[in-house]
Amino acid sequence: MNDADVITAVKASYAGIHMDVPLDVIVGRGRRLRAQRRLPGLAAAAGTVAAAVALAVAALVPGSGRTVAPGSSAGTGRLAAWTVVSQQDGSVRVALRGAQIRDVAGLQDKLRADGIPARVARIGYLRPPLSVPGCQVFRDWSAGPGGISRALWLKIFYGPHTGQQSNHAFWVYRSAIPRGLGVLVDIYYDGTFGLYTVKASPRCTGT
Amino acid sequence: MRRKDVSQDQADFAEFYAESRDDCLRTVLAAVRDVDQAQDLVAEAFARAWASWRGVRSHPAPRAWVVRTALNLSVSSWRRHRRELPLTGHDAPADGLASSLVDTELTAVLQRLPVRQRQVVALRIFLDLDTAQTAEVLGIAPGTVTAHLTRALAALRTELAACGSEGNPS
Repeated sequence: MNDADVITAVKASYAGIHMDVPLDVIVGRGRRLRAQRRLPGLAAAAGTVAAAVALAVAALVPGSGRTVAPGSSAGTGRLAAWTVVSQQDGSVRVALRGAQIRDVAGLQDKLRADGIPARVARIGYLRPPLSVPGCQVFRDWSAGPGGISRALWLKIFYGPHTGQQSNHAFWVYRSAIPRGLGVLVDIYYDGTFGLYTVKASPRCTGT
Repeated sequence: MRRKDVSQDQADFAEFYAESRDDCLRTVLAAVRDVDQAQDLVAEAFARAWASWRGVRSHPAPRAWVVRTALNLSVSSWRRHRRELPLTGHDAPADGLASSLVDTELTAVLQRLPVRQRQVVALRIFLDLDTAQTAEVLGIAPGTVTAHLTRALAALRTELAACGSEGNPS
């Protein structure tokens, strides 16, 4: 058996492996990445973001003495898997840490306790969350007609901020969520996330 | 950007995705061993390629760009796991490989190779990269690529010959 035979055999052994993620899922995700990058004015929001991060970090450090009480799924002595920190402007800032956010129910409960009609799930953008049990998910603007407007999405998840959000943290502006709508947070395998709007209902968002 | 340019870009990307996705997945799968994780990593890498399509399109080896991005994501993810999560079961043999879809005997032989050798073999075989391109993707010297490839092919040849003789008793 020579090298060519080995190469042929290895190639043949993987012949049954196929990438079955639809192109539109890839393109939709790419558009969201591009849209996040294009939002200008990060510097203008830097002060607010830095303050929020400072609060979140203080809450993450055991024994720091701060009284901020974000929700946390972590045990003593470990960094929190997530934190939810209320901001003075009425929004909340959610920070995710680690590749595996296991306590999605805890995060969901915390958001709801803070007055946000929320559903938190681990679905993955490879399986677009259009069929979450009990939820009617609205497509985002990149998916074309039938989706919510980009302006509304930005109001809910960016508020006054115009800079790029972190891949591991986001805001939710309660006051921008129209009556009858809620938010869906889809946490990906690597600790990043997707943000969607859903029709609020007891089964989906608890309201 | 004009609408015509966008649609042309998307058509180009669609063609690139259709032509490259399986080979990129197979290459990354050889490195990470879990088919679901490999698919997630490659999907994310292609999404990033589309987000930066103008630059990626003019890259000398766009498929290598995708694979390098996927492998980098894999390393980042693994480092986070290592730092923040319990390691219980971390080093257990991967069982996510779609056993019904691949030649499991040969795959097992490939999986026994050190990770660098697997990566070199995958890049050379599935992406048909030359030594210099493989070296660039992996961030190692061309001479190291040659050494890894020689050792890997020798190991595969030996293992396959052994399998063949076991399977064909005289």
